[in-house]
Amino acid sequence: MEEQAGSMTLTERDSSAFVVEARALTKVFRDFWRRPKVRAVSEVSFGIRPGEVFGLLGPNGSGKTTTLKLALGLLHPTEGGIRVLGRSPRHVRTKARIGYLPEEACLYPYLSAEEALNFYGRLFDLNGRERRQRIGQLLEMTGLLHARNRLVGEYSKGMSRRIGLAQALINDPELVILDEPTSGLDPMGCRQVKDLIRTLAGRGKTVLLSSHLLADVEDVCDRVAILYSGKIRAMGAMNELLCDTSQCSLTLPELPPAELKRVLGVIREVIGEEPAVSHPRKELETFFIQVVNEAREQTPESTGSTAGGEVAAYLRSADRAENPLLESLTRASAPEPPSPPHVQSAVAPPEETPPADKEADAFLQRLVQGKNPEARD
Amino acid sequence: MGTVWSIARLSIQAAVRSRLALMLVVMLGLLIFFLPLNLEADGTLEGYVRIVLVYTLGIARFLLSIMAVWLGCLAISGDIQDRRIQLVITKPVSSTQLWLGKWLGITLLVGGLLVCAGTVTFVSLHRAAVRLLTEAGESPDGREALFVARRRVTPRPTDYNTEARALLDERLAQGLLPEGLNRNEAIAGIAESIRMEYSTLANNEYAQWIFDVPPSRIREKEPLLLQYTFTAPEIDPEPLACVWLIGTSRDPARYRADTHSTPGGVYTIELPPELLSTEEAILVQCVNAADKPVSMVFPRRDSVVLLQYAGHFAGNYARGMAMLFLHMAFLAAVGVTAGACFSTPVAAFASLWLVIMIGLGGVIEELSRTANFFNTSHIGAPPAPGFIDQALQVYFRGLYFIFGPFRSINTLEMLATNQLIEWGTLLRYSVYWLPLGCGVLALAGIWMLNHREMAWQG
Repeated sequence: MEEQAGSMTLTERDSSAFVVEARALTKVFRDFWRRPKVRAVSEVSFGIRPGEVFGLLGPNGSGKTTTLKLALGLLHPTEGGIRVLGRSPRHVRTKARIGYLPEEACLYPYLSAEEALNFYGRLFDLNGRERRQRIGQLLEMTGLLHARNRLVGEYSKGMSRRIGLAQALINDPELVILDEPTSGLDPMGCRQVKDLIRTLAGRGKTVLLSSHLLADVEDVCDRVAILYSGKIRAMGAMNELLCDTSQCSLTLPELPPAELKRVLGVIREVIGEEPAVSHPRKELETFFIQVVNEAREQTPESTGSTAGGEVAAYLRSADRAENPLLESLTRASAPEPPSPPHVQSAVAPPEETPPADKEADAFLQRLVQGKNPEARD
Repeated sequence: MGTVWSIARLSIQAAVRSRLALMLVVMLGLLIFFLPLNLEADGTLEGYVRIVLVYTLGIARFLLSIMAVWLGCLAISGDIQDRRIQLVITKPVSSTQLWLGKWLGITLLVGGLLVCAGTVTFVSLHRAAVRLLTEAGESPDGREALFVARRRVTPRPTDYNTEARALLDERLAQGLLPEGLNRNEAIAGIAESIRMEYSTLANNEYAQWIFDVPPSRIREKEPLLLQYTFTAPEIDPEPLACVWLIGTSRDPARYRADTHSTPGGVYTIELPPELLSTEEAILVQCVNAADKPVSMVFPRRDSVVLLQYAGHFAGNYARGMAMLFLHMAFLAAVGVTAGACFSTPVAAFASLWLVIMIGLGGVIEELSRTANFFNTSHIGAPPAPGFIDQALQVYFRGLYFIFGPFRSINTLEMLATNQLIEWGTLLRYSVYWLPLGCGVLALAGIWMLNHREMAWQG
């Protein structure tokens, strides 16, 4: 884990390959008399590669949002520097390739959702037809189609987040910067946003997000940097950081006692000790979505945002029909399909399986028939 | 340009949908429709037109000026404060586009309201003129004589300095004045005393003014008007008798008018056009013929002027509206730039300060010519200006250099008194206010937007 050190060794890599590249980035906020007040970000270095979902994780006040604002050119670094898509973050034309969702709704409250998206679309110089098309798709995707003519100022926090997300995607950005993307959203919305992030990454988009919700980051990020007091305390790929390579778990369908005993016997023989057996719990998020979907079928009317629809067509990959995994991920409102009988390796990637355990590996291969581990189900 | 228009449209939407702008528009509407009904003039149609123009358009200008400055201040500082700017500035929008869009939106909105207010006032003036003429049993066509624009011809300037210089030398030679006297200030003071002496008429005294009017500008069918105003040292509301003799140096009494006028009023004498079809300068003399011991004072050079026909009122009115529009555009630029530099309350005060500075152009000009700020005694020779005096003079000269060009003519007064607003004047102010005033403010605002952080801690 070469990146776990606070300052990443960027010089060892080809810096032109980075979509976002921060070098010894430092931000000191000063008071009225220009005296240093707070060192919000301190010598932070990282690089984000194309198609990567990179998460900034940390407690409140750790410098996540400040780092994002530096990446957007809203704040100027005190020392060090940051380059986005190879240019300064304040370069106007580069901004056409970036989408940004701020932590708080910063929308014009006197505009309706449609007017707001229309305004932001105009800033990207999208022609009328394309703009209308994208607005329709985004409103449908965010479940705000029925509230398109309501003033944004009258929206609930969750609805504001949704419209904020829509405006961040109207230009089909190459780099999406999301500040606390799931904050204020209901579990359905959270799931949808997370699915959307993975969809975008699947299309080669780069996503930089900040969050203090560990589960969200774990679900979507390829790599994370953990900030505390303005400094990076740990950084690396999720698997590298979280994988406990000394253990692995198996998930099996409910087996008759005799069959279970036989399987456990095989495992005991391989590992030389008694394996732990327990029943897996369904995730609360999955259960919640299932219940709400059932309720929605009975009561379709709602004053708030509805369940989001499909990911906007222009945001989906061209070969969507050939990518059922992506399709399944983007269908947020669809009930979770029952788990097929399978055994899943929870964390350990195949290449990290110890070569000595050839027999166990062969056994696992026979049992594993599940999803692609990259799907992060 | 599409981005600029989008931001301009947003600014208009913001203003239209905000309660403050709505309140100002309602106030403006009520004012334009109802104020003329409650105004009491001096009983003449001219008086009515004058008072309606000055009050209605004056208050409309005041409200729209506030609106331009306030909306300008809010346009960027409000967006920064509410963090809305973060979603605009992270889009491909340059600082120039942002500034221009905000300014254009507010200018168009205020300009649109000014056009509405101006049009309604214009139409209601014409309708009121027809009604008043009909009530007086006169033909409504008589309003044509009223709704005209007239060029203002001021008298030939008199050089009092030569006389003042001679008088000063005489007094110095007589040893009546100290040697170390500031000669220029002394000449200016004596010249002012001489001017006042010539401008003050005791009983049976007279004053004269010479006007150079190019003959080509004298239209045969259109009368020439002599307009005058005077004051009196004594508080006496009784009209004073005067005799006016108008002619040329060879025939000074070609036309005579006997008038009874009250001090402080503005009066006109209609002169037959054929009287003045001459290439000679026009000589105007006024004799104080009051039957009691009272002086008449013509305090300013333009206390007596000639007014020539110079076109229809509508064209003049349109130029007047254009002048007001330019002023509004400038105020909007002041507000937008102040908003780009400061938070809303600070921007509002900074804008107010700038507007006051421009309004005080005359005072600043006067101060920039002052050498002694602290020792103003006229007894004995004044001391040489000290360091503070010199510093203040440099300061006021600097202020006048900056704000002097933006001093405006009194557009409403000119419209109310049918004075011609010349195309040249309009062009001159267009240059001052648009490329120069708004341009400099735009550069300052854009520079600030480029260098200012659009977010803050937290």
